[in-house]
Amino acid sequence: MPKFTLPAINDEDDLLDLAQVSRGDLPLERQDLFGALVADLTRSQPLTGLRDSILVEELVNALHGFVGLSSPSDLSVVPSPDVRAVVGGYPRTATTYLHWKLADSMQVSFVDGSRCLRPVGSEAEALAAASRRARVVSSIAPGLEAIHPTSVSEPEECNQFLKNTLASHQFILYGALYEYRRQLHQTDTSSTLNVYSDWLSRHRSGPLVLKSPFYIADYDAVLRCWPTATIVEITGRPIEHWFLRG
Amino acid sequence: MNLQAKVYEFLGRPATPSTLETWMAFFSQARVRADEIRAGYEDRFLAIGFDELTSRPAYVVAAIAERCGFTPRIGSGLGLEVERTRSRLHSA
Repeated sequence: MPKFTLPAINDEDDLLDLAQVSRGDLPLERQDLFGALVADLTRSQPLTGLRDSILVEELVNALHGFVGLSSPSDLSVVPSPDVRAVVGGYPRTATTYLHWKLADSMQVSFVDGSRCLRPVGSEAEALAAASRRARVVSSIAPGLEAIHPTSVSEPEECNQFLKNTLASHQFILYGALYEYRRQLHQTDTSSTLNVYSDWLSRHRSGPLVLKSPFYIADYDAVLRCWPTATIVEITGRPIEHWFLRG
Repeated sequence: MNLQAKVYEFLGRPATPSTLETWMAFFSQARVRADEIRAGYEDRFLAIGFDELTSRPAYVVAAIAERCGFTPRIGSGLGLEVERTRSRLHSA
């Protein structure tokens, strides 16, 4: 069950009311960011005409979980599977590309939900037909699921993804948060540790590699959860130009 | 060129400010905190250059494999290349 429930979504005020109530559970320094994200959600065109309260409820819970991910108080227990490497860094710095290269060449495992590779071209059409996730994402941001970069020789994919992000508002909500959203919906928790633990409980054996650009906001959790893992951080282009230097 | 100008050039129109601001705020905050943490745990981090990764992926993967104790996947062309790279590095 989700942590916060909505009786109905009739207008933007309902959503903002929910945000006001639910932000109280967050660390103080995260509350403003949460409020900004929810406010951004209310301005999202695909949701403006959407009166699917379950979906909106899930989104709010996902946002809450995401913003609260780095709460140090969540991390009192240390899960200990064989996590050898955690790929972090800023979005659009080829973290997925590195993940793909490691998966292709090394005997390592990846936990469902930490992997975000998606095919391109005709493969994407087949995926869209078979995957609920692909259908959901495609309905909100057409093409988004099919264009995550998997090849350095196709840099336009990366640019296209960013373009869709900015045009549709949806990257944070769907690109990064879908797995968190699913976990939160199932486990009624927003803690980093529980999300990670659930991922890891489904892991079978062998050295693990975790990957998410959003780990960069979560290094303290990463260091504490996996005290022997190496954090592989990609530096340099192109994200510094987009988000950090202005 | 500032960020809004870059985005305009990219999209052909202005981006939604709230989205940009949200991204900027989040990653700006994340960067500050990440810099603090990294400074205290440098031995836990392995920095990989974007240009290095995209121009010589076998070298990058070899470095990660060496550090993390990974072994090549059987039948992988890149894995074989990584292994050769590691052998060259060790024999150099």
